[in-house]
Amino acid sequence: MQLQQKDLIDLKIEKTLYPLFGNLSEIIVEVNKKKINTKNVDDKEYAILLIQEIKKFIDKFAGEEMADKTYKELIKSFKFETGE
Amino acid sequence: MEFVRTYVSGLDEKIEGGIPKGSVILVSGPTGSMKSSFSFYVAYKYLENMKKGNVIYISLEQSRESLLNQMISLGMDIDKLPKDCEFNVFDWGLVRKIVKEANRHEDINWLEAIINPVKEYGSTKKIDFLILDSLNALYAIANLKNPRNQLFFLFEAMRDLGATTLVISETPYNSMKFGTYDVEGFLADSIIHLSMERIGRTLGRYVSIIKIRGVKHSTDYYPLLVDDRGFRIISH
Repeated sequence: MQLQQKDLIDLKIEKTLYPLFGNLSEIIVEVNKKKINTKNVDDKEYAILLIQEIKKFIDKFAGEEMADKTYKELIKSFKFETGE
Repeated sequence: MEFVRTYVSGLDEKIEGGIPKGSVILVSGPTGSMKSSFSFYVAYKYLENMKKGNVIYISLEQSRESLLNQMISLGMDIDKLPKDCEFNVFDWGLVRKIVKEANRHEDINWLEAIINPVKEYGSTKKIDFLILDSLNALYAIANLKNPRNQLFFLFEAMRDLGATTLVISETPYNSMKFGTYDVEGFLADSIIHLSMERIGRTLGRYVSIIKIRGVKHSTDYYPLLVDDRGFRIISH
């Protein structure tokens, strides 16, 4: 998948989180993206870093099982491997 | 009517074997009366004994980590439940914190936000128990403009999930009010009242079943004990 813009990545993550958080998804992405340094990272690296932050958030919100499930869905939505 | 056991030793015998399955039960009482632990216990024991099933615990104030540690100290470790059991704790305190950080609190329809993930979960898996902890925290977040109406729809939404739902309501000491707006007890199908009474230098805990819609039962208050064998009542 060819990622073009970081905004598009945010939207894709929001869309995947929507069933769980509804319109809170946007805020969750907004707050978690502040935790990563977006300078000097390409789109793919940015997506991976943000997905990892979201995973940490879901782990605190609902535990490991839901965090892993959401993580897999996010990875699937981007159709790439993280090498983990 | 089908009933699910509370596993509170001695209590089920007083109420036709348990609480009505799939109904909404108000668990009310003052601070320290063990409303959260009692509700957690009922759902935990259900999973432990049935060896399968799904529970969702919505914690609006206490963090997931703190709640789970508290329950471990009472002998309830969700990681030790049989493998076909899911005990999910949704930590809405964490979400509230990040919404506050983003300064977006006013943008959120909190009633919908809290119930929607449960509906989503329920669309793929049967929810056996739902616990909402607590109504008071919900009131502090949601700024209800028409509480009677909004609570009616919240209780209906919970009832529609088909799960046995325990809704926690904090009330003042020595009060026979079961909710902030007086309507909660009416909207619920059953009321379990946990109370506390000072006897000399000790504080005793008591439990009473105030109502179970459609069931004849005693409304006596029974001393409620908690030890390493779990929750139990002392009956006459």
